[in-house]
Amino acid sequence: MEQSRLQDGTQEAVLELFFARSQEALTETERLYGGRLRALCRRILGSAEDAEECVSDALLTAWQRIPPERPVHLFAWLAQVARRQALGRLRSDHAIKRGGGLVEALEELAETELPPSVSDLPGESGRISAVIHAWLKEQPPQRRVAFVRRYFFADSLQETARRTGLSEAAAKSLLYRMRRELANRLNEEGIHL
Amino acid sequence: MNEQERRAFALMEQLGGLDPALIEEAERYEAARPGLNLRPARRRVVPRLLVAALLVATLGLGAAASGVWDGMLQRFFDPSPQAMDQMREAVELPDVTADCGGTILHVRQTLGDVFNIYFNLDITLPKTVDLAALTQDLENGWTIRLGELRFFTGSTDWDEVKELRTQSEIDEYFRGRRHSSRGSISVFSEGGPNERGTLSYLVGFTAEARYSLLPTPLTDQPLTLVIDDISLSRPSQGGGSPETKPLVEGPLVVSWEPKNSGPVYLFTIPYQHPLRPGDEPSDWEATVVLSSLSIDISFPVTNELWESYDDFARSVRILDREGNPIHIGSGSGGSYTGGDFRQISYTRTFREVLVMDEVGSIVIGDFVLELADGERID
Repeated sequence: MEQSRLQDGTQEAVLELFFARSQEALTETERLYGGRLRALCRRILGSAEDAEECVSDALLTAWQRIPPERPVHLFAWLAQVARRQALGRLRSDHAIKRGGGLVEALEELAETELPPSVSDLPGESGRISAVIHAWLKEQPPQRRVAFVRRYFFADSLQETARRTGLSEAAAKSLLYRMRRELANRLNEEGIHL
Repeated sequence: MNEQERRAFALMEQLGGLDPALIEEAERYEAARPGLNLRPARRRVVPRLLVAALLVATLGLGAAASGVWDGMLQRFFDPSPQAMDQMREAVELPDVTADCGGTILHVRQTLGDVFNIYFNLDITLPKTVDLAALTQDLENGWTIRLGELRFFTGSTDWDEVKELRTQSEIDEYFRGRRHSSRGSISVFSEGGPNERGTLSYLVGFTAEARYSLLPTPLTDQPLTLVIDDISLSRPSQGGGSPETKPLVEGPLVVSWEPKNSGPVYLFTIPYQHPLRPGDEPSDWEATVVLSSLSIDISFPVTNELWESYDDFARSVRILDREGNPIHIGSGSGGSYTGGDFRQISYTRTFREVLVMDEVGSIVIGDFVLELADGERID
């Protein structure tokens, strides 16, 4: 392989393409991250076609926002955008389609005694994120990764277990304990969802 | 949605605002599994007599058999005489020391090549740490835990970074110098501290070749290791979040210029494949990098080449000159990407040193790469 092909594989190289307003930025982003983004959206939406549209929207968002933004973690940035698109689509459709990993993850969260609903309080959103972030940072890496894989990436339990080196039973038990801990923390902080 | 589902959905939405570093960590985690990415150092409780016996055995046999191989590298890889002979240029003794405000980092011996490095790291705690109290803590179930380890290009003195406190400040300072956004770091502890307050570790770093081999190889340029901090941690009595307390404030840094030169072969595989199912096939090129310490394989498009990732992984074999599989075990690192199987970036570190003279070919599914056709790039 030519040296240039290897160099092209870096995040910084892709960002340089965005900053140069080269359309190659989109093809390189698609090449490097498209598969993973599509899989993420498909797990949430349960539909390959809808997932494709979300990824296209995410790429368009990247084109519009980079520059001036310069994400430190490009994949994470794209994943957040694509995930937001996918969840927004679910919310507007008022229906969660079967087949995605999201269904199970949502059922698990719904079984947890999350704080009572006085939702949509202005300014609450940032505080909730801050509490969740602080709580996650306290966790050892394996626990933290298991939680993020299951509830951010909507991975199946099997995939979560495989990625974290746990048996499915151990992963299930770990996630149960973590959900309870998080619910307690949110309650302690007076957070309402 | 009922009320509970609505709350669950709201929580799901809130998780979208996670720190991107946590998302990247979860995406990369496999790179360090099962061995230990940032694994907290565990204090081994070993009878003193056994320790003494191991030390005698290690020093006696290790020194005699391996020549320059340090005890920890020797114990980890347990190399054959052929492996040690092959890796003569891969072993170095930089013997670099960095004083980080009283905490001393000492890189004694290194083993590596252009995209792998293993080294012995001694960390001597500052005089301000009460060793008697620390020993008491360790006996009470606390473990010493290194903060995040990261590698950057270039040389850095502790004085330059000592005021940096948060991870984002450190990231900003080293912007553009991150050695690789992808790679695996392993940390193995041999316990401690000893009576001088020294903790001993074996640290390994394997950069994914696709991202790091060119243009920034690990060797022949300064390399900086940054450790966020050192803390004590123990499980919570009530089963909640673990308790932690600081031991040494960071960041801690040490720089040196690795010149390790283990053998590395680069292969390319031109192939035709549709970008998306149903497309006309187009030209692609896969990359394979084989070293004595790891193998890195990158296929940009793999829609129909393998049924699953497991099929792909099972299809990867290293054969000897007679065509028999070489079993060298998997080390602590390894990763792949490609959730929907459109591309693969696969790295696997080895638990033993691969003797290149014994290798005949690499088989990846239907692709067969003869070692003799590879390009030496070490």
